[in-house]
Amino acid sequence: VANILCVIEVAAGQARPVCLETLGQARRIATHLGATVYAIVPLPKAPKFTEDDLISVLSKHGADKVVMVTDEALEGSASSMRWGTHGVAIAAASDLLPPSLLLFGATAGAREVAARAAARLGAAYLPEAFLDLVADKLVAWHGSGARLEGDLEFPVVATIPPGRYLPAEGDDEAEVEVISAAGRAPDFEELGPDGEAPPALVLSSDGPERAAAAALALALGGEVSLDGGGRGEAPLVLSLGPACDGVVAEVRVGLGREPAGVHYAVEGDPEELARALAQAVTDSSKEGAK
Amino acid sequence: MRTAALLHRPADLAAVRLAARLGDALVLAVAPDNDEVRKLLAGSGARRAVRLWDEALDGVDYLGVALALAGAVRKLGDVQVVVCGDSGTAAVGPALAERLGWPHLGRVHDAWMEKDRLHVRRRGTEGLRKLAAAPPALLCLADDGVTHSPGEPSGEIAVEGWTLSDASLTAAELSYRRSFRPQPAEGPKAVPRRFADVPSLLARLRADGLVK
Repeated sequence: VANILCVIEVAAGQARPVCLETLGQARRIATHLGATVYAIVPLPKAPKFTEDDLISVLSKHGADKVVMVTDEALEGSASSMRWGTHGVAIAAASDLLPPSLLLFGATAGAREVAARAAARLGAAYLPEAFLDLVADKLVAWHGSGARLEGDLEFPVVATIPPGRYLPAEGDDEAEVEVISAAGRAPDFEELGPDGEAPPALVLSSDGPERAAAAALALALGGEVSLDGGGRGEAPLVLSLGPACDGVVAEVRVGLGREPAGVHYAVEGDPEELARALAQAVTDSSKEGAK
Repeated sequence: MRTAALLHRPADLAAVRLAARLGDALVLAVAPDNDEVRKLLAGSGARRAVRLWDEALDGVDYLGVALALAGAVRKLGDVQVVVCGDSGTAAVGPALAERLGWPHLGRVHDAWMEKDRLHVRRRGTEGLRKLAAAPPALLCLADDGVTHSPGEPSGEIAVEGWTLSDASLTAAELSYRRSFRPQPAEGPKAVPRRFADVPSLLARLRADGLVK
């Protein structure tokens, strides 16, 4: 393992938390195996010296080097990654720094981009991966039920789900490099918004918790699924973010329970938690409106 | 316009219907011959069905399958749009697009042709968005996307059985991908990140950009 590349998704000038967690695990692996961690940041243009918070954050969270890949085509692109907008930048970074590991936080954008990046590299692809050190060797798991065998003498592309690893903490300063992405991948033209989609789905059984589920869905502008999305889920799982099938979303939260597949959990009474979360969302929306 | 749908499981019939809505659809599968696959392909509603298989494909990873499909699509020659499902690891579709050098989109809810351009409605972070491109392109159809009616019943069709040579491929080009495929083994158990209270959970969901 020589180069570990972490693709950092940026929203409102901030690195997404799941990307910092992924960077943290890359740091721990790299420290043990003597590899270099590169934070790859696709941006429309390089930040000014007065806007270097992002570099500082990535340095403190484990990057040896921060590589800003600038591409004017990213200006005004829709919020999450897709290959047509971000592919050229990711390809430019992985051509310059051939990775042993290319890592993404498991976001909706990464689901769109990571497999294609893997195919481009001829790499193994592990969505929702565990990357752990076992007996001084890197072991890469696809979920909890399958692993890559052998010494990983080929590149691996993986996505890391939110909440799986902790971010790294440190005070080292990373080197910074700015490269330009050249060329343009064939792409779709963005024509703009074309309708609403519920931003949240509250999975509930048709029992006493139904009313609390409805209150939470209302606060979030989402919907309630009374059959747990047809999968017999335990009641009161909050499913957030653009999903491919309405249930397997970007983040799933277990309220008072921890059924398989949830990324976050809070202990307590499910109904009380749902009502408290609904109230907190409503209160902060009112604060924001003021 | 010739279109193709990748058929892997019964739920992918929605992809066949979308492909049929976009053009003259054929259906493609990488699978060994068995009754279930034959029945699924023959009754898919497509006008033509191709099943590609070779022992060299047994146990290959997502890219091995995509390489085989890319060979088949190239051999077919005039396919302009490929539609596949977007469930599971959702890796084969993007990998096939990469091998073909085509643009691709995931989380597709619906698509249609308009003035020779492929129009697509897909789910983004902030609702549905519309995009368009001139073919060729590959679309990964979300499970909760629009399900079109089957259209005119075409009856059962004969399934063409292709070997690698029919797709101008050799076993050596694919079989090495076996070592890239994760093997079943008991691994670490996923444990959720536990938050002490609702405010700390809400703060994280806001940082994730999932709650305003």
